[in-house]
Amino acid sequence: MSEQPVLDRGRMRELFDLRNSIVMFTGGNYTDDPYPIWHELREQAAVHPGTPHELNGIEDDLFFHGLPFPEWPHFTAFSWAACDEAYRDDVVFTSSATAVDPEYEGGLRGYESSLLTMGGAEHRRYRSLVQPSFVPAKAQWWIANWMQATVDALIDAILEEGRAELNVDFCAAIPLITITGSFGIPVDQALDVRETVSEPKRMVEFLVPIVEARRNQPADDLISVLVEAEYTDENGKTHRLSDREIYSFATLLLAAGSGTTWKQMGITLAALLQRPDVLAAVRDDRSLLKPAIEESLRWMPTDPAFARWVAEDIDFHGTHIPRGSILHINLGAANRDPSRWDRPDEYDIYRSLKPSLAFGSGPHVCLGMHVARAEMTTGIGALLDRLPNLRLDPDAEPPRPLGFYERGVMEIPVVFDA
Amino acid sequence: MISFILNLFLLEDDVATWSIDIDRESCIGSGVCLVYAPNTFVHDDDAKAVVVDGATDDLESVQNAVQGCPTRALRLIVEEEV
Repeated sequence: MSEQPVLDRGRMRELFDLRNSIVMFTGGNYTDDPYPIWHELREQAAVHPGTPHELNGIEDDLFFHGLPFPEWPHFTAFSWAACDEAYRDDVVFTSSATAVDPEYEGGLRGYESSLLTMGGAEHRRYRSLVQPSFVPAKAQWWIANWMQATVDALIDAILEEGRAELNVDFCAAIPLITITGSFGIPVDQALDVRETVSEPKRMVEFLVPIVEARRNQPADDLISVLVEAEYTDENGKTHRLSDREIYSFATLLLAAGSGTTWKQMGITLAALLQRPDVLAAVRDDRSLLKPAIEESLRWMPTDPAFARWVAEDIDFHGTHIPRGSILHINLGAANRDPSRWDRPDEYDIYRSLKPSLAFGSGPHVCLGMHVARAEMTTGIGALLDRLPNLRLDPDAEPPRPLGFYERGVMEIPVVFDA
Repeated sequence: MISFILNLFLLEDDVATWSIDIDRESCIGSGVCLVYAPNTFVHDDDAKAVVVDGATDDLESVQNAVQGCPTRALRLIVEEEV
């Protein structure tokens, strides 16, 4: 039994409601299956003028990476080849508006100078400071320090009940507590931190005393790694990250890592629970959990589109894109390109493993991919270990994906033998 | 640039000697190659990919690792058929 405090379920449900006001801005009320339209569009052309949501017939103004930017022309790539190439070519397809137009002032508020928006050598240098904490060999560090106790406590809380709602009461909490834990923030403050996710300035208030404390006395956590990290600039001079740079990175990590892994874990669990034979196979042979997670990432990535700012005029896969445009990479569509995968719409954990674009590609490829994988593996593995005869609640509505730029399932009602 | 030589099983009896070039300048330590060919690649202390002694992944896994590398830091070249 773990001594970790369990999070207040009512407050969790409020904060992690997929239909709350923040998620609505990214298309939270979208309940259609977007994939048939993506197939149709991809067959017509690899790259289309327009934003992904416009092309799917959504008329609302949605907000996400690269949106709304109303004064910029928008294009969207749908084929595997175009999406893969755009991700890898960071000279033409840059990561910030200011890389294209230095005077531009309407970028992502709070992230003007972060790993997300940097380019070239500066980005490389910064990334190399944090990469060593996010490599596969570090997964065990994340699991032992922050994930396992959380997962155990969450299961302890439902074990006797014989039923649970896994999306909010389980999946949502794991990435949040993993990340806040790695900052040195105690579990009972994790929800307070989550409330600040759209207000980076309030988030910083939590970090100020921690960064100060770790500068005096490092501990075994991520903030200590950031405090001690050093890089050498082009003139051979050694630098350490400033407090501001650490706040910026930590804020980005919480924003990028807490919602995504939560929803992807929910998508994976729902896919397995809706296929009892596949779930049974994974329970019996745990080596199948890896392909089950990789296939979920291919089949239904939680964030199916990211943007790049186009720095040069280019004829790109049959479409002319002028400099000063925004290209949306519809990786959700690329991940079901039939030229790369047979029966692309099927969730098939037995297909031969092949790289997908779920975590992006190129120099900005997802930093947290191995932490996300470890969270899903630890979480789903523990459910299979500890909840006998785990299955969907036959009396409840089955889980259904919703959302457009941030996709997930609303509820995962399950029963098991208590 | 570092070159590693390894033998990869193609079909049951078919073995070929391959070499993998790793461009340490391009390698960002993303760890993608460790996902697709976990018995071939590891990271050194600088979080740069290196090939282990006695790599045991099949050719397809290694090709996936090479193709999946986000910064094209890996190159796979056939040396000789055995």
